[in-house]
Amino acid sequence: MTTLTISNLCKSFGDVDVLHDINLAVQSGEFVVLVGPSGCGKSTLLRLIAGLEDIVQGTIQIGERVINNVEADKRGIAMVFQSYALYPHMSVEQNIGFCLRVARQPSALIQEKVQDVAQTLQIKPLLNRKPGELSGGQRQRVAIGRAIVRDPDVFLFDEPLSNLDAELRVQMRLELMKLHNRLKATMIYVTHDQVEALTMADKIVVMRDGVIEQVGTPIELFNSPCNKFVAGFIGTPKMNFLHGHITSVTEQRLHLDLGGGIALEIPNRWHGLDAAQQGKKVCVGIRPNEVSETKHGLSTLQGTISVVEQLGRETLSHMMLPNKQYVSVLENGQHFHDVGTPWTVSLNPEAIYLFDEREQTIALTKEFA
Amino acid sequence: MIRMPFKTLRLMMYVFIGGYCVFILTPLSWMVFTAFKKRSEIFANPSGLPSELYFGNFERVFSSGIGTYFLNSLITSVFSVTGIVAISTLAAYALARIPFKGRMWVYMLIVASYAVPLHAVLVPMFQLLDGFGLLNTLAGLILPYIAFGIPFTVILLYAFFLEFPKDLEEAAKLDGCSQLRTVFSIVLPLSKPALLSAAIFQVVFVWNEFLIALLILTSKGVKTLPLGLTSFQGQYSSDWGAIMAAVLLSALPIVALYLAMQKHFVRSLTGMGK
Ligand SMILES: Nc1ncnc2c1ncn2[C@@H]1O[C@H](COP(=O)(O)OP(=O)(O)OP(=O)(O)O)[C@@H](O)[C@H]1O
Ligand SMILES: [Mg+2]
Repeated sequence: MTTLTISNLCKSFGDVDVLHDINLAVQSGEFVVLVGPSGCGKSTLLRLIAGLEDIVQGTIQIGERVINNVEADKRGIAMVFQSYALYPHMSVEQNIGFCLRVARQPSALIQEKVQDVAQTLQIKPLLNRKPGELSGGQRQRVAIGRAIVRDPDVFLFDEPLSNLDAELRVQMRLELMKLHNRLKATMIYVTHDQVEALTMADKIVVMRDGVIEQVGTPIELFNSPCNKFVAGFIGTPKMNFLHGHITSVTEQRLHLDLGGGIALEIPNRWHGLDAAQQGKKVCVGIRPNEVSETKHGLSTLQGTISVVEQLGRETLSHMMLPNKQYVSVLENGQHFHDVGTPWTVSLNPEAIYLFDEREQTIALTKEFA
Repeated sequence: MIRMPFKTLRLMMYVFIGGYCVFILTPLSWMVFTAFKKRSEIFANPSGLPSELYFGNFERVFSSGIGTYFLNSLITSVFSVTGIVAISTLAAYALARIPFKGRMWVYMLIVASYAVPLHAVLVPMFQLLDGFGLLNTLAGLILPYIAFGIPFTVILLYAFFLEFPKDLEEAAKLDGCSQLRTVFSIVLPLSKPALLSAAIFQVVFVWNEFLIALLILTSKGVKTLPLGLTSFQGQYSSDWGAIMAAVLLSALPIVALYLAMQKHFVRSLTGMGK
């Protein structure tokens, strides 16, 4: 069952095109996370869905109903703002009940619904306080309460946790996931936070410059990014990219020149990579945890260690290659490498991605895919 | 620049402020003292404290009908200021939030009209009011006051509404509020400081306004306080005690308002009511 269908949606502010031809289907009860660099149009998309911006081109449907021209409050949508946007002059109780009062519901019913929500979010003792007298986390709860009380078909969250400190963020993240499980509601959630995206999402939508780059489950996006941008965006620490070109191709082997006299030899696992591709520019992608000191014989790189970050459970080292490109290496456990010393690492051949000159992922041949 | 020692600078500031206070407060205290002195004492001891509190001056003032002036001033102020604030609020909000063609021009026009000096339009205004038969009525005074109060108030509130957090208005929209409901339920309750300071500015202006009142009001029954005071001066040309008592009485409400609202007044001057 589809709750929300966005078709061919475009949006521009004056001459600036912010969204280009967005198509997205969100299933009922799904938790969809929108990620993408700052300014890529995530908030704009959310505001279009909410009815805070006019839809000029394209359609948005909830169920079978096209909501392009439906008033914001009649769309069955609730939005939680990054700033919470609680009304400072109203108590928590009034804040939560405001939409019901505007809709002229009987006050006994309002009372009951507000109590229910307060119970759910454990904010009963706060009902008589003003937002100014609450902590960040409590305000967050009230903002969520204000959304829940309307019993919407779709919840929209625009970076709701970004104003909280790390610990509270983890806690609220868990509570939001519990809430999602309990309400079985459809949620669309914008975040900058990798971990939030990967842990909370049923489905992640990666956006760039007003375009959807890829849609998939967190694992799909992590394992099979469709292009270099998605590969670099999903996963921390970020994937290593090494630019070079193909010097020779055989059935078994691929020889690359990374510039600065660095040659890299890797097993050829890619579809359509044959002798005709010689000289083509490519980019090698490898996640830092797939680079290690252990020798695979093949696919080795030599350089000097320039920075070592001790993360406690893991060690993240950055090695500079002779061609001035960097490779990050994530090792389990604590390793005390000396900065400035030469180092040899090898890439796990099974975990190498290859991107063509248009930065698209080159597909693997069947036997490896 | 020569850096002065901090202490010297502070001393100079105190001396300056002290001198300024003496300058301002001397005539005021002279007014207050004189209002409580018997006529004989005013001339025998013009600058000292009254030897006893004498209320005869006030009795004479009350019996000569200052009450009417008071009432007229009160009516004029209440209606003028209510009108100014109500109209300016809606105008400023529309200018700040509702996009329409020529919005900037309307705003510029309002700003420009603030620069028009009162004296330049006195004669046409008089003829206009005469034509409407509003001379010698309080309405004939209230309408010009509203007209003159609007530009400044719009400018003040426009700046405030521009900075009003948009999120709150959008949240209200999602909660089902119409634009007007948003203004009344969300924007105005949160704009109290700005509205109050706008109102105080106008109260002070209207309460003390003399020139328009002098032009419009000639019959005794409709005169406002500033006009009433001048007629006192003619009536009691040598009764300084009564004159000072009347001045004191007329200044009292404004001073009280000032003291009560001091915080807002200062805030509105320093930060547009925030
Ligand atoms: N009202 C507006 N008028 C003109 N341009 C706008 C408006 N709102 C947004 N934009 C532009 O649209 C683009 C997308 O903005 P949007 O707020 O959707 O980005 P975002 O992905 O939410 O970014 P962030 O992660 O920083 O919140 C930006 O380039 C922004 O400058
Ligand atoms: Mg945003």
